[in-house]
Amino acid sequence: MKTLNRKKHRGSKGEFIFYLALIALPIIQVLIFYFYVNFNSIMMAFQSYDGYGDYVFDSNPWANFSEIWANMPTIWVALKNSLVVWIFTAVLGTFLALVFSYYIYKGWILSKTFKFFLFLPSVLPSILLVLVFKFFVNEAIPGYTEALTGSAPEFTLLQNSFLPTVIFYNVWICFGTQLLINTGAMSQIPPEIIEAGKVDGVSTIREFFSIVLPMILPTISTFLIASVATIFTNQANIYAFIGDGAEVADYTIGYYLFILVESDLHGGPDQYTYASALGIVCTLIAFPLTLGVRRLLEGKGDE
Amino acid sequence: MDKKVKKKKVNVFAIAIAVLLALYMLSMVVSLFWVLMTTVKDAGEYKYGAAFFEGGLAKSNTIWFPKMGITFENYVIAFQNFVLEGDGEGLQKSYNIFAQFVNSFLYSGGCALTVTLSSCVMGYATARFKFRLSNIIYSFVLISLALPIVGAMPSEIAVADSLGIFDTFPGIWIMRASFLNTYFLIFYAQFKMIPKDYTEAAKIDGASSFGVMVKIIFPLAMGTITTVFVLAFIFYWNDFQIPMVYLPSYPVAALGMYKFSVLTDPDEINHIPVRLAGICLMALPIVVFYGIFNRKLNVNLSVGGIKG
Repeated sequence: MKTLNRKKHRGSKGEFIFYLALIALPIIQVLIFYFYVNFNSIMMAFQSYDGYGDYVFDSNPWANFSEIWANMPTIWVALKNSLVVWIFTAVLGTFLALVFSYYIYKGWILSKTFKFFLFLPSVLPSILLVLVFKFFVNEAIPGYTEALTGSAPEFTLLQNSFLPTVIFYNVWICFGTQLLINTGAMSQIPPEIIEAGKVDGVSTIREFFSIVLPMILPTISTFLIASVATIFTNQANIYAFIGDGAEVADYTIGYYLFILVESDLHGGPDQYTYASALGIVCTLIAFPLTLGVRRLLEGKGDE
Repeated sequence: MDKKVKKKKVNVFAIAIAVLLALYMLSMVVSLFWVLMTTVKDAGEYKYGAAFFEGGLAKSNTIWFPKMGITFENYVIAFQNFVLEGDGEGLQKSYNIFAQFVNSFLYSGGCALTVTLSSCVMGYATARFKFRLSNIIYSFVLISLALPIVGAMPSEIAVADSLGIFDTFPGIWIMRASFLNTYFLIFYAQFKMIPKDYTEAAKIDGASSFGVMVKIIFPLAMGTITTVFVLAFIFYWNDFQIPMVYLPSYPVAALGMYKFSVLTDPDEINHIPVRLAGICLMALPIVVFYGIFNRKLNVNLSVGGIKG
């Protein structure tokens, strides 16, 4: 009986073979392009470029890490900017996305129209939106300012406040996917819970903060935990705005790592090993940070 | 008689959000309208103003309606000059606007297909089969999403190069076919929600494991499968950095947009209205695609679920 139950619970041999056939290719893909790539990345951090297309271990395996230490002022600026971008896009952006999602979930006036516009940035190419935003800020805003005040500003926002303007842009376009997920989660809240709140005379603001947000906390937590990962990878569209010509003061870690790989000016194959070492350092910072945020959110969730 | 008069409460919270949303919508409408208006404005009028061409002083017309009439000349110039050279070591040939669309279609269609298939099949396997490996895979996906590994791009390029798949379409399709993503979680939640009874009933009727998957469960999840494919397609179509790095010989439309915005040669494209017209031309296919598939995006997606 016990054996039968176990067999029923675990599935038959035929099922197991089918299961293995299903997962074989995706697992091989992950073994190569996740495990091996990351293993190779660790190896590359201790290697150097030989100039002929190969990466070799040389006498000083810590050379790339010494270079990181030497470049600490740049990395520190990039790290600080990455955190600022994260606070605005992940924390403020997520909160705004929740508020907007609630409006759409409630089906208040023009909610379908607002949904269309909130989702639009997720559909249009980011490069198109960056260029529209860039040209609008550089060309139209000075024009409208002159029309209103009689004098054109001497500098555009992108010239004298590059990073704040770029952060504003990143918040401006960040609602689309979150909207889909949030409204999906909100629609799963049992209607009787909302009704019970209404019977008790709960206001909409109270309904949002005391019923809806706590109910969809697992969804919000998933988003926020996943967003910590983006602190070190988010380029904040800086490359799309300015190519590889950004000032060091405007670097994020994601942008810095990208130009080390792509830019003819700052990077190339000889910088790959340094980029790999920097990636490892960032990963070592990201791990405890993510675990901390996770513990914090899970603590909140248990309350 | 009860003199209490019930006043309808003003929903201040709703009004405050509506104002924010209206401002957001306005910012979108104004900027996109400005772009469209600029694309049909004479490039000379944009730079020097209409009065300049009637003997007056030069004063640019960057914000007002075209006074010299609407023209589609900018689109024609952009269309004729929208040519990119492949940067890779493989094919060194020119790509006109149509060739860039073909590259985009191959890149985004192939990547969307492989990532959807991989995530869907793994989501199905882990959600529907209670083997110990399923729990391990599910936990690993959560860990890999939560604990990022940063800066693996140089290594991925080196590995792709050593496998001989760098700068090839099949190569990028394989590289993007990972299930370590949010799509997996969406599929997992979807397949977990479908009652086991469906599978058991089909098995009693003699259906095989493969038959249950493709004839019973996948059709039930077709809405989610299509939504994920559409989202992935849009994501890859709009991406210009991955193909810039991994497909240097095959410039895609999004990369074309970026390069067109900074190119200075030939001189005809060196005007804001022409640049914007070129960018609008390149955006046309994805706008049409969204127009066709936007209903598919109304499916409820769930990640993380709700409490209780």
